[in-house]
Amino acid sequence: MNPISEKKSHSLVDFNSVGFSYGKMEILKDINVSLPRGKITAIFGGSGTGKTTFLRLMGGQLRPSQGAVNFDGIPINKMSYRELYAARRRMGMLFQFGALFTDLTVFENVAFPLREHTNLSAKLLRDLVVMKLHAVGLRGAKNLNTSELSGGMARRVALARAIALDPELIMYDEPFTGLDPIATAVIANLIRKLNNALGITSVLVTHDVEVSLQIVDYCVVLASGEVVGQGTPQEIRQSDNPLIKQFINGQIDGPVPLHYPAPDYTRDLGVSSEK
Amino acid sequence: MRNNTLFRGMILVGKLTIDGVWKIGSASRFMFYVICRSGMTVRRPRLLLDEIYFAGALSLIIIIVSGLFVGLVLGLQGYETLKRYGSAEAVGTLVALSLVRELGPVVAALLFASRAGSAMTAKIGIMKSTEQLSAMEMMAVDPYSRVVTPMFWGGFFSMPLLAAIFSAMGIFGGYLITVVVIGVDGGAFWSQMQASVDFQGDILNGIYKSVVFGFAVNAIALFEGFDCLPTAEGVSRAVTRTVVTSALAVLALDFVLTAFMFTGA
Amino acid sequence: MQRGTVDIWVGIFVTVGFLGLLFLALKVGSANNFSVSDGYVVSAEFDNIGGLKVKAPVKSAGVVVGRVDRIVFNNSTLRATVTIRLGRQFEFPKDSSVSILTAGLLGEQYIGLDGGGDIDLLVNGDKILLTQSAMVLEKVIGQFLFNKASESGKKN
Repeated sequence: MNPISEKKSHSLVDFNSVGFSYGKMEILKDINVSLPRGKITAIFGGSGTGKTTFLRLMGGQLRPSQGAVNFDGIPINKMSYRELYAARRRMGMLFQFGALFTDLTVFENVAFPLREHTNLSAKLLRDLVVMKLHAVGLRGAKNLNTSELSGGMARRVALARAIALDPELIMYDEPFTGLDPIATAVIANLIRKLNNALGITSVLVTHDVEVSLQIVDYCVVLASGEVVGQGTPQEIRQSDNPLIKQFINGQIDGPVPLHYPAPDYTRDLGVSSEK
Repeated sequence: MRNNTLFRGMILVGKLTIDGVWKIGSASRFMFYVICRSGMTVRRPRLLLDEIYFAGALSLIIIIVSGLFVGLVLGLQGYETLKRYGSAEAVGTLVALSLVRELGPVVAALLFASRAGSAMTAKIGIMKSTEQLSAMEMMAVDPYSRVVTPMFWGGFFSMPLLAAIFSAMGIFGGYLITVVVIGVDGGAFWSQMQASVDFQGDILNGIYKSVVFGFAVNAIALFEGFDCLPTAEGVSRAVTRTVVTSALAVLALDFVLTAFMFTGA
Repeated sequence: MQRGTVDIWVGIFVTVGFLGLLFLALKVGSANNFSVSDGYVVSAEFDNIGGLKVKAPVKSAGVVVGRVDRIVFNNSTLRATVTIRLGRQFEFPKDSSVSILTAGLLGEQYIGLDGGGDIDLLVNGDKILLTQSAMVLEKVIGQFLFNKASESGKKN
């Protein structure tokens, strides 16, 4: 669980004592995390621990209140509009429910980033889209409407769209939420395969511990906006930090309490002896 | 007790005022962005064409049918009133002036708000609530340039045309009911109309009105869509707000513009 | 194929829209309301213009030949100076006269222009000297009563 403090070149994204607050609500506090190049990193955390905020900071959709998020050595929050858009062309993001464009077909969804950013001929564009769809096993679904897709298929199409521009960094926001075990395994397998084949730096924000631990290279555990531990899956499994233990093993009560802060139960029901 | 109610009432009024001013501010900033990022719409007319289809062509039927009915009613009512004074031929003037000056731009804008404006709000709101706008942003595609601005210009361009169609259909409706059905003299109908409708003073002013309404309704519809809470309920509320706010804005602006255009020397 | 339908509908919409505009411009608006910005300007002074307004028509032999351009009060003569703009195609002698008339009993007021016999024609910037003011009802009635009174006075 030693915090990695190696040379910058080994990591693609660095969080340097990043804090983020929404109004008065502090969501992230003093985050120091580096995402190693070409590896899959998982960010674990329960609901409402600032995982999605974490991704949005990397994409430049939110700006940190303190500290800096560096993408390839350049702080994202200091980038101009043009630089930020240039940086985003090197990123891909898979949204929680795919976020496919509902008025376009599967083919057009995958073609969208290519059409927007390149001037490819119709033939080349078609071939590229077919290749990307083939990579996620949905070549045959290219003429379907997005409404005809199952949850797992929609996410695979979204994944094909995210890798359309061959990004260096790909972010997965809760990729396993709401999927059946088969679809979950398919997506997990795809994430691993794409990482191996294309050497993309991947970051996975999730609370699906069991699936994720099997595919990732490095883990960061967030709890109430702070990093409570990071390391390889092996190290995380063997951690004796009670917060991590509760999260990994899915214990009902622990440092994260089951009950929302409330007055004494018996008093609330009016059965307490004291008046 | 009563004091308390009064106090709470004052707080509510204050809060509503502040919220309103806040909203006007963010809407203005939003429109500033939209207009500043019109470059892509100019470079890719395809996008604009799709939005003209969405806002204009799809509103064509409702505009034509309601224009016709409004004209029929105006013709009938106008005839019934004017014949008492023995000047039934003036019904052409009455129908044309009321349509060209007021009803054409205003009713077309109200219909546009409920047909195209609400659809725009819903489209943007759904794109927002399903993270499609976010996804676009992460694909390094600016959602303002790619989605909002073409919608704005498409609607803005369609509005005056729809108003003109509405007025033309209304006058045709008035002609149908008074000349063809009731039997008012057709020559007098057209000549009296032409003698009293001024191209610059009446028709052009009506078109200016519809341009202003087009700006207002499109701006409101897009802003409400962009500003809505990203939930199903948020989107439905935004759609309601679009229709209500647009209607109020159109009627209030109409008063102001009429005061400018048709009064005084 | 889908592109094609969009294009056709946009085409229909734009065509119908411009047809509507054309209809309003040609059939509804009057083409004979010639543009007043084009033409020549003459002025005339009146003792009283009554309810005359800017843009009121100027008619000669019942035909609209121009419009009232401007109405100002002349401080040195204490009269109203009315500037009228006449269509370029209409020519009037220099000694033409203007009078303020009313269309019907309660109609709007307009300027009637009666041609004279001069060989020279009115040109831009000329002043029409022969003018007749608007009828003011009170004055007309007053005069009528005065005449009646003096008539009956003579009889007695």
